[in-house]
Amino acid sequence: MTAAAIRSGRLVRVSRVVSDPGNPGGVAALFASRDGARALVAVDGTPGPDGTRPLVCVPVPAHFTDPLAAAAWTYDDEAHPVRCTPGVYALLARRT
Amino acid sequence: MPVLTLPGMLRAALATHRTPPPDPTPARPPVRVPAPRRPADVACPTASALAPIDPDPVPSAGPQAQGDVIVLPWPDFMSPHVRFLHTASAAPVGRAGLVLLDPHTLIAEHGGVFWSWWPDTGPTLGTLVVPAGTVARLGHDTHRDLRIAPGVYALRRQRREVSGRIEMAVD
Repeated sequence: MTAAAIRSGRLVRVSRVVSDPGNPGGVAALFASRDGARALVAVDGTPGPDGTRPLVCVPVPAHFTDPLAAAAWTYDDEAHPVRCTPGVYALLARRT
Repeated sequence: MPVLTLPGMLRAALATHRTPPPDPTPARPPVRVPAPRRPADVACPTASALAPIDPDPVPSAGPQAQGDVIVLPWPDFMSPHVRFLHTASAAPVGRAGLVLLDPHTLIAEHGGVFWSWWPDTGPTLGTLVVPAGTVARLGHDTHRDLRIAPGVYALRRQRREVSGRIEMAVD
């Protein structure tokens, strides 16, 4: 679904494409829809039943311009003493 | 011996030509060759970026992610008192494992590991304690397993923002 939205132009890339930490061969980028909503699009760390790795799409706040900062935000918890900053997310050893 | 001219050779060749008898075997249907796939037919533009499967990864003490759950090691600068208060109530994980967030399941691979649920309703699930000499495994029915080395970790769900509201991501 995500790949189809990108091909049709419903999602437009608004950031650089970066390597996804802990995910060999995986990349991530930010995309925006026409209504201004923003989403992090990345390659799934686990191949599907057909052997391909689908794209995953996670909506994020619209102010993000860096895909790694957006990815770190999705795993952060401001109320917890252990934070997931972009620096911590960049150290990701493994993503499945 | 007569000398055959070119038209004569042609006539001789035509005279020896026989129409072949009909083939008694029934005609086979033509073989259908599938059309080559266009790039637009491929399910994912990154389908060729396949990483080798690692069925038994080396245990890691670093951050790891399994779909919508992340494993975050506690930083060394956390005070011993804070560390104690968060880990003192951790209970051993039984042999059957513990479903943290269906179908993410925590398993004590070697020895005993300890778990305590985080009391808030935010994205953090709880605290995992993996004593020295033990390994924890986070299993899943579609994502590959994570192996977790000794240490103290926060396990947390992934969140997303939809129309200004923050909600938990589900993969």
